[in-house]
Amino acid sequence: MIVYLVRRVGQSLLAVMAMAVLVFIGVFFIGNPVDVLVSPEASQAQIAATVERLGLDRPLYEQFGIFVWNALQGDLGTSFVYGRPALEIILDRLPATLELALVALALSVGIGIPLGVWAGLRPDSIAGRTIMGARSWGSRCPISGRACC
Amino acid sequence: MTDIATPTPVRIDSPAKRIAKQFVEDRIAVIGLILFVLIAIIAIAAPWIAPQNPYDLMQLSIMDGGLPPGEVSMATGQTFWLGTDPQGRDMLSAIMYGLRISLMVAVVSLTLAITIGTIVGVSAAYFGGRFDSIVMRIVDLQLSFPAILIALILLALLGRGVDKVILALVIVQWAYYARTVRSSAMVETRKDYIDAARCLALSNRRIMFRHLLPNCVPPLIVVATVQIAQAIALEATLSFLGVGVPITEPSLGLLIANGYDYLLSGRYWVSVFPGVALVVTIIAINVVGDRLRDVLNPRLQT
Amino acid sequence: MKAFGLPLIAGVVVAGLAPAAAQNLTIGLKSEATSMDPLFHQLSTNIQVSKNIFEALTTQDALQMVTPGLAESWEAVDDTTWRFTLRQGVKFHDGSDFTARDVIYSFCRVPLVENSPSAYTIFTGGIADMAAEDDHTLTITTTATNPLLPVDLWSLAVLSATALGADDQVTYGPDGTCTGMGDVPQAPAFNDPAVAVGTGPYVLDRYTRGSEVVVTRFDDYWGGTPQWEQVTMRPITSDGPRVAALLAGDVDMIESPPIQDIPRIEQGEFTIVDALSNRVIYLHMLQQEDAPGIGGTDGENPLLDARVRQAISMSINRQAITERIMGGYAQAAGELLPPPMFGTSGRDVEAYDPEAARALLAEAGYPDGFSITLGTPNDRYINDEQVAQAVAQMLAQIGISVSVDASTASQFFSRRNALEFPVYLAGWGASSGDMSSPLKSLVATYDEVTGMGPTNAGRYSNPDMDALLTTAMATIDDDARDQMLQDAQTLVLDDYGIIPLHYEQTVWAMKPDLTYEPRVDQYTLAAEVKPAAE
Repeated sequence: MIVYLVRRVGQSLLAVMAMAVLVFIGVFFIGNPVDVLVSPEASQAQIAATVERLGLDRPLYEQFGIFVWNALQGDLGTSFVYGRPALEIILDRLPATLELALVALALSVGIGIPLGVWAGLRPDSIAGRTIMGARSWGSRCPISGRACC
Repeated sequence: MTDIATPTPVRIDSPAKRIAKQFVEDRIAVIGLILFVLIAIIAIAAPWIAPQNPYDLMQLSIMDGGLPPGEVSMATGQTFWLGTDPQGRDMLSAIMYGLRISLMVAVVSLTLAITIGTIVGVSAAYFGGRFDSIVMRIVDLQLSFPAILIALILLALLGRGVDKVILALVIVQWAYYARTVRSSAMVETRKDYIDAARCLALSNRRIMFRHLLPNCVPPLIVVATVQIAQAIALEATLSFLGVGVPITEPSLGLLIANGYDYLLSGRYWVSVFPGVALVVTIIAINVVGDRLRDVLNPRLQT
Repeated sequence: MKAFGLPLIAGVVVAGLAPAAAQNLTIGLKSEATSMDPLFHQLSTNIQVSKNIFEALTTQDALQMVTPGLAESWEAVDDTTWRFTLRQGVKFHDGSDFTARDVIYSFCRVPLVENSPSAYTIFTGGIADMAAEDDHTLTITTTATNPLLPVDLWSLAVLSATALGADDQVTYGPDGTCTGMGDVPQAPAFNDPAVAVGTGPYVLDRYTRGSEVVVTRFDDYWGGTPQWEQVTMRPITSDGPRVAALLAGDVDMIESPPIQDIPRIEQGEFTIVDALSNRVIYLHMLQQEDAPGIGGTDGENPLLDARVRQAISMSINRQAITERIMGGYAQAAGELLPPPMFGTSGRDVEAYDPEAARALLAEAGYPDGFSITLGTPNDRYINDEQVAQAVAQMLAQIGISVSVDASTASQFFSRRNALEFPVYLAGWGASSGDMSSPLKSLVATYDEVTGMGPTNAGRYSNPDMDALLTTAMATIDDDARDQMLQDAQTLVLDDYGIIPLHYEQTVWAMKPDLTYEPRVDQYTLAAEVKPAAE
């Protein structure tokens, strides 16, 4: 059991790490944030100064190293846009996210389980088929489509 | 007298025939199949049957933009049965071409992903050991991320383009097949006929692909039908989010996205018709897939 | 979504008829202020919110003409020295008096603001010295001649030196070398209304990130009692929900409703105001030997030939774009700034003439055209992606085959700055309201040392224009400067160095009992929203 737990935790850590690398690389290539942050009226020298101040002139591995080192100490960095600790901004939004997730979970469990049992008991009734049909529709419709319909 | 010497010939159908027979027992599945075939024909034949080539900028005129269904073009006199988008694209033609792109992307990425996934999965099951655990950890890792997220990051790196969307879809999908094929191959590897084949000193390749693989096909087909609908939906989502196909060559998802801004202002046709086409396609494939799963899964047989 | 339509509209009618609660105002903004520190991030959302709380020495009216603010008057003593007479009897929100010390402190703080994503040092960098002759007379010395100093000063909010903990004596030094600054509070501290103390008509009440900024009336405001008891500014970033919030009566006014929704809003008996903005949408073309994304020319860059650039300009039916794509809420552009703003010449809009364009292309040696990539953002300007596609259509008609490469703003700007696009569509809003702004940024020869042409990703270069512009930017006399800027622009446009497409129109929608004077700088200033005259 403990071996299993350790292994699962290790795997999760690996997944988090891989995600961090992926997102880091992704964000790095998507565009230089300074190009949208800085005022269009800024001169080349002022843009360069901003890049340097934000540490974006350093090589990617170095930026990543700094990020990981700070993250291990509980510092997730400072938001470029808000100039405040990133953790604080995440925590600000957390209640709303949790609220959405919990309500959605409660609703889907509350509605989903009875419907599933019903469909399972009478798989060939009209109700059963409708429920299974709706399930196959709901689980495969594109995310964006589901959200707007 | 006759019972031993000449047994009554019991007709044993070939597996394909049995599956086909069982499949047609469900009327809805048959309708789904017919719909899907129709859609496929429209998609393949689009360049010859569509009234306009919506990807040829020379044929478009913004003066025809945003016309409601049934209006007539000022420039060419053609009737736009499903209206036009703001660029003056005939929605009917755009949907036909969009279907073509959507299906093409899904089928090509599916084929590639199945090929890669199958090779990886069968090898992992057959060789086992360290190779298996390394490969499967990679698969686990990948499956733990939402496909859409990985595809988004990949496309942000690669840029827009049909080829890039296909590549991204292959990368996010191969792991499903690798996992499916591996688990069924694991079961098969332990069976006697594989041992027998080994004793005959057949080459590994021969055992894997001639003996093992054919027995892993049924679950693969089920996963594939689910995944092809998923692939179409994923492509639509990516294009909807603006990282998929180029904007001058819209797929269904991009058509929906383009019309989204106009939905509230009454120009429903730009978004709704491609949306209907997308939904019908996905449902048709799903219905067929569900039925295939029932037919191919021996445990659900009564 | 559709099912909700009817109750929504029904709700609107009720809200429209009910007597307005004339004391409170709620505005739906299209983006969110990132900080309450007015000198942290130079971003239009931050500016328009902070203008309610803070003021500057000068202001700009709806047409971007400079008018007195906290300074009653000013004069240029010589080419680099300006004397400002400050307004008497102005109170800060905490009751303290406004003096020259507050101005010096505020300008001194600019280089000391940490982590700024877009620093205000671009305005203070040229200030060599500041000195208070007395509490209400201030002299500012610039390092170089800067006729636009009064314009620049509008961007520099004046903070309360006392509230921020300055010493009694603050002495100016350039680039963060001031003395007497005390412990300078950083941007996050401004969420506290006790720190965000200004002289503006409204007092910060609370700033809840992600949901709203609430300000309340400042009764001791020097400019008379402000209109509203309380103003709530709510960011609603998606277009659809912002419109829905107005129709449902959740907000009294919104900025930038999507053009395609305007008829629907008008049907709901709402007031629409709109005006030409200072933003021009343009095409820029990469004018250097080495250009990516061009095919069918044997490796040559056709855009180096002015005839090709002219052909591109003539092939574009600007009228059709403004009518069909922009729904009439744009005006075909002939210049880089809409007339009659400073430095414009009233030049005609390029006539649409595909025949002549084809002839020019043939004359330039490209009778069969060529293929080219057109870069565009897809979420930055009004219907940007649609406009780019329309341009692609029109270029196709003269034989230039265009592939439109649309991407999100951050990616687009990075790629554009890396010169990845042979042709790109972008926009320029002249925040100073005069011609030197687009000329300096977009078409002056790119030079990292002098800071000219930072956004010239077409690398257009015209030494005559550069010389004229440099002289104009150091000329205090308005008439002479006006003429020089006109001439400089004419040099560029005659050479087709850049192709103006249209000026965006900015739109606001509000309840019928409100009115707003539309601003060319596209700002939504709550303090300028007034009840409609009966």
